[in-house]
Amino acid sequence: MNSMAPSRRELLRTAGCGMGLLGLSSLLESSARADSTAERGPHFAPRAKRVISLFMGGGPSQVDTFDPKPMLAEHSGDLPDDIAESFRAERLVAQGGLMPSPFAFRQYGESGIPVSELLPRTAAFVDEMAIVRSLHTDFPNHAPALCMMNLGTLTPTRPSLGSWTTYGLGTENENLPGFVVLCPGKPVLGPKLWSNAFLPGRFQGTHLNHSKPQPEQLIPHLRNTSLDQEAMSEQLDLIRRINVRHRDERTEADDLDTRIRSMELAYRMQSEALDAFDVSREPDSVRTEYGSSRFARACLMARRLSERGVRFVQLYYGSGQPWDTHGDNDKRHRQLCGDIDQPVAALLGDLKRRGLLDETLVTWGGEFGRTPTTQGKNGRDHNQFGFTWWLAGGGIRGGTIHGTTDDFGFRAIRDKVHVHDLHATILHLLGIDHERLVYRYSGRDFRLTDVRGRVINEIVA
Amino acid sequence: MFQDLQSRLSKSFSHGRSLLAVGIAFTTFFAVDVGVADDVSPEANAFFESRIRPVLVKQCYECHSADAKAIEAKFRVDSRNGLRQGGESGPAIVAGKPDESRLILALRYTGSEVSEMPPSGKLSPEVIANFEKWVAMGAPDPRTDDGKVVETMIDFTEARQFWSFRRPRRHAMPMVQHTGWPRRPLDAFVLRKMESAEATPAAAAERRTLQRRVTFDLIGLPPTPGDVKEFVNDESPDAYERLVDRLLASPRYGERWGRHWLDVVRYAEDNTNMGPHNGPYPNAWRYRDWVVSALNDDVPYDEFLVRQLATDLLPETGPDDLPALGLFGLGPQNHKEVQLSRLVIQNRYADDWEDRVDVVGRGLLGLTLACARCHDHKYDPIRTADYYALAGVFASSRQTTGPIVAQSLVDASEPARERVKQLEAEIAKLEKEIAARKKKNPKQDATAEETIKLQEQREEIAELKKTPYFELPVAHILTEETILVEDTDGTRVKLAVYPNRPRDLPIFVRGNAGKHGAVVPRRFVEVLCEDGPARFERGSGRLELAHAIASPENPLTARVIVNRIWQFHFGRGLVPSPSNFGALGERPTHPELLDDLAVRFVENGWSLKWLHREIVTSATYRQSSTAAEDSQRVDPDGRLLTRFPRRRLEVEPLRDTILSVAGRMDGRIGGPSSNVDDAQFTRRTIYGKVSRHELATTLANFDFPDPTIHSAGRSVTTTPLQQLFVLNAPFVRNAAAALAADLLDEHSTVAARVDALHERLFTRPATDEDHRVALDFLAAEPNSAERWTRYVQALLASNEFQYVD
Repeated sequence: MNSMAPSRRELLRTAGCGMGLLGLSSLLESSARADSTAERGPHFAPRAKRVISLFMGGGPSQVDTFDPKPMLAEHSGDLPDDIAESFRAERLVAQGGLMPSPFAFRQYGESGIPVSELLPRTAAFVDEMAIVRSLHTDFPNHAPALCMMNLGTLTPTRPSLGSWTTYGLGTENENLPGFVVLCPGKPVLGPKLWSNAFLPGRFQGTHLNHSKPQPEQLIPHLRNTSLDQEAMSEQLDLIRRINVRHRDERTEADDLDTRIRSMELAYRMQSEALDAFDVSREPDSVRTEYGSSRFARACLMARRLSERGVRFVQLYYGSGQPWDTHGDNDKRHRQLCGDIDQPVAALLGDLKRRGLLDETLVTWGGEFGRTPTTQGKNGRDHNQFGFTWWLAGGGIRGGTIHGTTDDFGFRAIRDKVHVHDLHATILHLLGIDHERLVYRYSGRDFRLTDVRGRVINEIVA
Repeated sequence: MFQDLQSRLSKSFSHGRSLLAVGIAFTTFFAVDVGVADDVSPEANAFFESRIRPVLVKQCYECHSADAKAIEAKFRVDSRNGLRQGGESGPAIVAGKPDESRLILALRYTGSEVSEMPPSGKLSPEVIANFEKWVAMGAPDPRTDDGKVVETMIDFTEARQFWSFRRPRRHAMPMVQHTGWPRRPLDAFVLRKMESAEATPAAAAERRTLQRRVTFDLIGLPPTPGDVKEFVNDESPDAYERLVDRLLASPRYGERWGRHWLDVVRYAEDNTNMGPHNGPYPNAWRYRDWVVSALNDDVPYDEFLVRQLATDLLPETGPDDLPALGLFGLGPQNHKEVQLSRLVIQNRYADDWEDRVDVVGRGLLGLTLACARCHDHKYDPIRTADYYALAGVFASSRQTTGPIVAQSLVDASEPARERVKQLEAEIAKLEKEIAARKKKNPKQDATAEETIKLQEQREEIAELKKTPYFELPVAHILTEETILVEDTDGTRVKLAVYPNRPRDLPIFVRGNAGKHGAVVPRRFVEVLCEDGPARFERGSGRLELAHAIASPENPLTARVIVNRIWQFHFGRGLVPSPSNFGALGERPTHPELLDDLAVRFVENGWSLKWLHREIVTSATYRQSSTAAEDSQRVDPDGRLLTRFPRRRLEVEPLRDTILSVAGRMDGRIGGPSSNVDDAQFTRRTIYGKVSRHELATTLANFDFPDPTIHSAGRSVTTTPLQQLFVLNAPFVRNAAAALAADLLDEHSTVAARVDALHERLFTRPATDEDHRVALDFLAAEPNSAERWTRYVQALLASNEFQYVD
């Protein structure tokens, strides 16, 4: 199967490009540079070509998923000084004592990494994963923490990780957007999280509400509702004829050539995008493997987009902030994990079978984690001091645990990883030096990691 | 941990690597004493020299030594005292106690309140262990030099020699060879530059091309066939000047240029995330309308600014002018979660102020003042004190809503509102009683008496609501009130409002609201005050700030707006970095021209319409977009202005023109905004809603700038999504169908229709080739509405429609 993969992708990439372009290609050769997709990278050999980011908005609880803390049971109900003081400095909400996780952890894979009973299928892939247990971020509210995780800053004024990535690497498939965001509805803060900010507009994420049943509803104006294929093709020929003559009467015509070319791309995108988004074209066996939930559909769509060369696919688990379990933490984690377990495992397995996992980086996590202490009766509050993400696939040293939180899973204490470090590492795996990927704006060079960021070499294969 | 956060914030403003040779002088003073080292044993000495000093030199000196470009955190490690005393954050070493020494905590990367150092990555465990051991030994340090005082001083007299800080002055028109070319004074400056580069101007643009260009430029719409006839047949020598006058007098001018201003001031109608203390702003449109109307009235630019900053403090303007305050009344606000601690919320307010200072800085003055929030500006003579002197003005003003009618009208209608409130409460109470009764026994409905009472009360409310000004029109404004974040019962903070209690802010050390330096009186930016900055005395100081900006003494304000106006006309400013006139900004391509124009602009009463006229009637502006052959070689990127740059229509004129040529444009001016993505929305695009939370797709796809932050100019990108819009959007298809129906209705032959269409879309007659192309497409069904719709749409999608020569 492995050896088949590239040719299949090649096929997908070139499909639909055969129409009436021969005459145009020589005309456009000179202008190709003007619209060339960005080549600010890679700076060195990439380990991953693409990213699929599974974003659990609201903040999953690390002690109920990937960071087992048996000490919680021994100290149930206590409120350690460190936790009490940290809270006093920043928030006025009363915190209860430590709340043990009711979920059993079991060791998986050759690496024997323990994972909660809530995620048995995903856990089967621990040998592909690096589990970073020592993340920390800078703010206990969703909006600023979402900004930090997506934009590398607390305020909503900078480009997103996906925008930086496409700015750095361009796209592998010009017939599809380079950065696609799938979310049924919108996460908190919405489009700011995939904003291009001061980068050129083509680097903004294209948001698709994948819960809409028809593929053509996903991209605005993707389908022409008035004309059939033949009529559209005829109209496009007419536009081309008018444009080429207009161009020939003018000098310095790079801008005009660029738009002529863009018109052709738009035309091809209609068929290619419809195909890419149409998960019903997958065989039954594959669809069964992923499951029938909305999230399953998104995971399958993510694979279809990724294998067609979409550089960055970000997949929000749900609208709003579903993982924000201030109440009923255990019950809701059981339901949430139950919903993601099969599709995530299917995605990893599917990518692996197709030989794509080696070149696709898959990440999982939220904007922060949750407290080991109780909030209200049975909830957990936000925790930015220590939480877990995992990364799998392209360039990742599988079967790794990186970093440690304290005995209660509250604060990262060893091999701490800030969000900037996570960003630096993701870019590194894509062959980008995070210190060199800069954009000059307002008189100075900006970068995703600001003046921070350290690549976590320990999780790189 | 918030210090950690803030040091990250402070870091976020540090600048690029290369220090350019800048025209201002920073002088670093530090007193050098010769100290005497404690007795340091030979072993300790050896340990320091072999294990400690090399690491300090290699890892720390770049930022923390006398030779550093700017000494970070005022902390030096290249001297014994410097290392012991520490910097802004306090002592770095507690001898004998590694766990209490900030230096060690920094090296350990503990993520505590101490910044992790060095920022490039954690040092190896062995190195850190050496430092721990050394501190445990008592931190023996054999060095004897003393880097006590570390203070960056700015010599303002010298700093004011930088080009943009010198007051602009008139310049004599330069001598040129081609004396017949210049039409306006600015042309001589342009031509002089060209001639010295051995370039020649392009030929004058053809008459219709020029009319199309200037019409789009000034009103954002194409000329109608009637306009074209009027101008083309006008043989008088000042026909063009009169055309320009007609355009500047059109109310469409304010809609076009108002939108340019709204980009500069990041106009929007809501916030990124919304809560009880941060929007949305349902009356934002009143500010938009104020801007449009002020531009149509040619309000002098200095007055235009003063009113936007402080019309509430002017005796000559009344409450109807309050929408002007939307400049800051609509400023982006960060969500304030009152269940977080005081310090956290104070930092969020500090984030808000940064936007205000940035709009004043980059937007009005062309200076990156906001860089000085956490540290003195690295390249420009701007100190954190300057930043907090301005931030104090905004900390003493409150963003809120207020009625825009006279207080007497508010008072007169107040009893009616009170009475309605009372009646509504009574109705609610009675209805609740009836409902409760009915729930117990479904048969016990309202009595006749109750029904009559409710009926009467409702009628009274309806009557009261007819009171004049019952619904008070309001705008988003600033008031002379200060908000303080106060602790209450420990479960939430209070955002307490104090009228008329302006406050001076302390410098927030490294941007941290919890760490205060010296208190700075509210005042203007020092480098812009030749006689030293005067303390603002009146209330918040907004009016004094406004006068300091809108002053002929201010070397930047006039230059910056003249340059922006130039940029909107030509696509590029004389200073290509329109919002950065500082050391890292670009230098003007035509400095004398910029200065001369700025001075004459002020002399002509800060009139923007004067400025437009001066520019668009120039020979420079009236050139063809095809450069002369020699100039194509000498000036390939057009910096010498050897041609008029061809430009693509922005989203507003593009969408407006599609509506207008199809006869579908609803030309009403002003009022609340609507959804621009709605295919049935037929007003001009400026009346579409602008959202920080979610920008309309049509706007986002066509390079509309992020309205969360000041925009220095729009980028021009070309994407397939834009083409999908013109190919497939019902909005475009509807317009094409309406236009096709018109043509079929008004003209009987294909040729006549093609002629009329080209006049309407392209401001020119159809050529023979145009007729051939049309016939090829239409001949089979010359009277089919569908066929014509497709043809018209192709023309709407064409480059000629979107690009203006």
